Amino acid sequence: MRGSNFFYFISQGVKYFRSNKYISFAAVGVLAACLFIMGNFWLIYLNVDLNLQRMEEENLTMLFLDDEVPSDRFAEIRSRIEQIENVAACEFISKEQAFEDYKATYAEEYDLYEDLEAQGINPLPNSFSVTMKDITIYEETIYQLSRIEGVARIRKQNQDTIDGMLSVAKSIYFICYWIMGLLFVASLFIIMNTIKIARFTNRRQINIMKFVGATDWFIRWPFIFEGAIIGLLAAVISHLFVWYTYTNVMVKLGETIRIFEILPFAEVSSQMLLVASVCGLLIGVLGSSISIRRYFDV
Amino acid sequence: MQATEAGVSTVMLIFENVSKTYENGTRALDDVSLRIEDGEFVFIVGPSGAGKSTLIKLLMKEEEPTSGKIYVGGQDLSQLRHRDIPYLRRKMGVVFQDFRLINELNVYDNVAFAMNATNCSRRSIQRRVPYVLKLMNLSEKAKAFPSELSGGEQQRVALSRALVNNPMMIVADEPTGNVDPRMSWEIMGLLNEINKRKTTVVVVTHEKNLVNALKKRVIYIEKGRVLSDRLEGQYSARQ
Repeated sequence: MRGSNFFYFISQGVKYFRSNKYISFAAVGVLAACLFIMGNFWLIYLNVDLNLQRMEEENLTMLFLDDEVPSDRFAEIRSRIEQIENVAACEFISKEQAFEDYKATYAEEYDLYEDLEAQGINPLPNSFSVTMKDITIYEETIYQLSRIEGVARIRKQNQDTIDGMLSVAKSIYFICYWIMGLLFVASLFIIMNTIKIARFTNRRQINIMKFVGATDWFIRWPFIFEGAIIGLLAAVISHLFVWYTYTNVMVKLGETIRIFEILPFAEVSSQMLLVASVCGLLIGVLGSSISIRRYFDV
Repeated sequence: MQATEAGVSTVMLIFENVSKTYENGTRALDDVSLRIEDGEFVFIVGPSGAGKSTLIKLLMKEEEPTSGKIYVGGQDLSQLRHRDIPYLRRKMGVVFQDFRLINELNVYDNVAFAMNATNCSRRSIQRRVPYVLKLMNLSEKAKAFPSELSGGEQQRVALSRALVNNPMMIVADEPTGNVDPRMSWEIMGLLNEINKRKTTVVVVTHEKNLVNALKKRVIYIEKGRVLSDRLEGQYSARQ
């Protein structure tokens, strides 16, 4: 593409957009609606992902050691735990420390442990608290941990919640991927057909261009720019709607129901706009260029 | 007729045993051979359905011949790749019966459009378009839109557009079909003027009077075959 042509193509693209303005705006509307739905599913995806991450960060598995294990083996056990690939962090809690923690937690129920302390008995075992990198392979990791010699018992943390959350997250991911994929294809199809109606009015011009010796690309470029204009406009409009509904519905819902952490929109705004623009551009450009293909037969 | 190596380069157009049968079985051209020299003025005449339009479509490489070879300006069209077709068309200026102007553009822009479409610089467009409009006596109509022009004027705009890229050959398909008789003479006069400037002119027409009066070469086609080809010919099928 020659530099001087670039501006010619853009101005022609704008002309095509304006000459079929009703159809162009219909295309922008349809695409914006599709991108809006896709955007919301993307946000759901991001929020589920965030909450899953938080859970991963907070998941603590306690490994209680056998009382028989001598203290000179603690370092060896620690290194064996750390050798497991899915272990993110591992912290040793001595039985003394555990007792102190217990006392601190139940400071007001002093009578619970008063006797034990007086007799110099500490019933709590030495332990390791383990954090995992990926909770989707939680069970496998637990199995590996249980095989370490000296580990008497493992206390799984929130396993039911994790399992529930994981299966819900997997279903949500699945639905999100499919809906976004289907919407992409559907919107491409709708845009293609909408623009095809506009092309019908341009066919005479395309035909004349062919007869005066315009190359296929010379004819195609303005339509590509027209598609890009449709795609970008739709992306910006859908972004505004996504922003409005997200901050007014999702964020407020998150503030009311405090179980889930909701991503602040500002954190994902630029990412959302970028994804919407890329999708919009792709659909607009593809739809526009596919719709003129059949006019190249002459 | 054989296209010799030396012959090909001096001849504008060669049809060598060209036949064209459409997919529905219609045999539009049947073993047509003809040769048009550089700078010639040729009428192609014949009744409707004789194969005249197919001849132009083959020339523009809008259709492919079923058999035979076509050379334009020495170039074998069967060897031409799809992406080179626009460059072949730039060698020819085409004028149609229905003018094929863009209604949304004024006269100047309709003519400039052909130069824009062939990647010409803005400066050359600004220089060339007024020159051609003046040649076609359209300078005063430069800002007018096609709907404001008579048939004859519209055809002059189409002719300006065909001429503006300085083609080797003008191909006119029924250029006077939608033009009143007085204007028809004017259009033919302009084509004759263009021919005098060494541009090859091929005119497909039904206009008996014009053909007979201009005393140019006449190729008569009927049922896809060349029935006669005579210099200073008349509109007739007689050999």
